[in-house]
Amino acid sequence: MPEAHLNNRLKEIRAELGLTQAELAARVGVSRKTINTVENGVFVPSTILALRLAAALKRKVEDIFALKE
Amino acid sequence: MAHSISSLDEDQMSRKRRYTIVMLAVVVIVLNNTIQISTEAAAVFASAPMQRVLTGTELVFWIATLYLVWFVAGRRGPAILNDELTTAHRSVALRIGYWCFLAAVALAYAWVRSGRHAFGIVQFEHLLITVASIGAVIPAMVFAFLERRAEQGA
Repeated sequence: MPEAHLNNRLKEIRAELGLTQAELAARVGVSRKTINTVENGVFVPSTILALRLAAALKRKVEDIFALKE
Repeated sequence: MAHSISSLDEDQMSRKRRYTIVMLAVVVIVLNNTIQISTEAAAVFASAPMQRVLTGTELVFWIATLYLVWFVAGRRGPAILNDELTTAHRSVALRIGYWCFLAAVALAYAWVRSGRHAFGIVQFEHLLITVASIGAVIPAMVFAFLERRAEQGA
């Protein structure tokens, strides 16, 4: 299976909702560093964290994350 | 999921942990070198006080080394400081440290087996503390680097 890369719209959606990284981190229960690294594509979140992010942003997971073509 | 620690506190605590780890790593390296130099000095100036200083330094070295390993590997502090990202960083750091430690052991073994150097108990002690330092310092520095990288731009 070829290596998959993950695209994410986390920063864009967070900005749309007017949330800071710290506020989103507090909602999800992770550190601000974690949000920062997910946004920058440095860290690929677990399924649980992806679902928590989606719930916090009131979006579907696939609206936030998608496999890179 | 809310948590009681503010983002500012969390950043400060994370930074403090990183600084502590780097400082401990430096202490381990300094003590390693101090032991190596002191052993040479003790051989020249053989005296009871010198031996006591050396024994004390060795004791502090092992305490600092074990504390450093525990500091990097252990889940200390509030849960927010041990979230998914930090756990991943810890895992990477320990994995790299493990391979570096094994490589250091293999190199030390090859060096001893080569028979090209006079090898006594003192040299064995030096080798042991050097390998132990590598096993403790490398994961610590990798962990500190990964945490710093995650903080940047946050």
